[in-house]
Amino acid sequence: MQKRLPPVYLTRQAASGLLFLSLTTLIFGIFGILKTNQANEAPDVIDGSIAGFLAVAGPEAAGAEVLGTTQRPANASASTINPPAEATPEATTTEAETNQPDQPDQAGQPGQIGEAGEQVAPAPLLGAADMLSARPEDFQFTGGPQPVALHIANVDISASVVEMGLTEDRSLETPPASEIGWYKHGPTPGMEGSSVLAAHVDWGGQPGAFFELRNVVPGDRIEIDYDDGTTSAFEIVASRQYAKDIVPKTQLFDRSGAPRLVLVTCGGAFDNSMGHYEDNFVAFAKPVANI
Amino acid sequence: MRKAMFAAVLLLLLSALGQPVAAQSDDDEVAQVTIVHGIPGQTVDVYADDTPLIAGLVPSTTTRTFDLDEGDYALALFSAGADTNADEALVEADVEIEGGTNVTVVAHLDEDDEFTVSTFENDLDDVPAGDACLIARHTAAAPDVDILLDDEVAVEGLASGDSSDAAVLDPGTVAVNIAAAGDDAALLDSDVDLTLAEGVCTVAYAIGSLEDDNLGVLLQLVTGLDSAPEDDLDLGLSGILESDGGIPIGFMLLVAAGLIGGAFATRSLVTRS
Repeated sequence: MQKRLPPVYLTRQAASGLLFLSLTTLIFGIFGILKTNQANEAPDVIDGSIAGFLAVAGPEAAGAEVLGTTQRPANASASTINPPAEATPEATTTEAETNQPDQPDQAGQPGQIGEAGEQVAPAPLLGAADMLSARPEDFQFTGGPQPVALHIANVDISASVVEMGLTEDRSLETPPASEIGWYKHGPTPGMEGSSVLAAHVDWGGQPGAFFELRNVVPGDRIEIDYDDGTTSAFEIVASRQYAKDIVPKTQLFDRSGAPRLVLVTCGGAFDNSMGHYEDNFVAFAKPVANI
Repeated sequence: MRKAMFAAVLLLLLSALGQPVAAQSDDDEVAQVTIVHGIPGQTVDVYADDTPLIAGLVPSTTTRTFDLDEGDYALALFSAGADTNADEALVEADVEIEGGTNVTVVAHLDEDDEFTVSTFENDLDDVPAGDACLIARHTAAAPDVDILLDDEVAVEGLASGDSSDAAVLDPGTVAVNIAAAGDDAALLDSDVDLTLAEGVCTVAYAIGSLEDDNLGVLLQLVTGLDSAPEDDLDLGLSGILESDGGIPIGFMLLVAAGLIGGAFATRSLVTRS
């Protein structure tokens, strides 16, 4: 049976000192809690709307025209109409390249311009060469190097990048906890359109590859290494946090328009009953010169 | 009226010369047009309403898709370098272009080996995420054909000038061949291996002449039909972020210490007095 707590015998000075110390500690603790709460609120829109971001990324991104481009005869190996051997039309550049002076080297190199053929009088509006279309291999979705690593030095993100596709019910596959997934049906980073890179914010009680993503600010530099040994640089232009049911997926996964990156992870409040976060945190980036 | 319309066409085509363009005019007044030259052995100059459009278009070519103002165009194909005043056109056709549509204009041989022009509207639904799409069009001098995919009949009885419906398939490689309708024998010497990309509609045109033994396949890829993944993007399962961002333990302890210490001190002061 416990005795009643004896009264505490402290000198008056000691008691006053302790009281003072306790009050200080209390105030400090409360202040710390308030400060931390503030830091963890949803990040403000840093750079305006997505349209604003697209304007930064390149004017053609905003009203990106349907590509619908095509290519010349399939597979020379198959029997095709007798193509005059000397005049097999080769690719021209795709529109997306023209307005991106800082574009990193693209994997799908445009082919040579084919022969224009004879001129007729008056001169035609366009020679045949200008009307010819790209070869399949010039399209990002039929080849090109794949990303293998991503680094954002300012927030200590550095992880391997792996291919990420769709599950059987057409939802996004998720990458392993410590790796970043690159959506393989979209463009490789740096090619035309939105290249989506997704990683966990946490998993199995541990931070995921994109745990620090919420701390990026515009101007933060991203470097992506590819499987052909090259590296491209990008720069964060904006970030947003969306409730999962309103995240603009169609825009985030848009394969047309200026080359850009979309980095996605989870954020916001954690719904214990469902076992997941309520929001998606998205950071947008544009290519910059790799110097 | 024609001149004004034509000036508009000129402007659009010039602006299509490598210039990125947002829509020059309302979407409703402009169509997206692709030209396919499927007439074997004839390099041609293409004229629209007596104005030269393309010089030296070689056979087996699919052009880039470009914007064209809606309207009626008198299309004419001449032998490359021909004098349009002196020589006859190889083929002429009035082509109606409707605003807001996506069409392919194909110059090809018809069933009777005559030059002709067919216009196909590409009225395509979005391709579900993870799938690819394939359309077959018979634009050759041949009777009705079946289209074979990996040696199985996928489209039956396609007549010259006709298009199949869009078929949704798994992305990947598929071997395409053509057979006379109801017949087993493939007409192409070897299968054409098509790579069907996810989210893209591949249009395969059968071109050439059966009689001249130069049948082949031309492709047009229609992009912009892809779909985003379904459902939520779930990329976090442990809730660390919130506890890390929630009320931090350290500060909580300070508050507790402060309260306890304060209690002791107060008690001491109070009991003493």
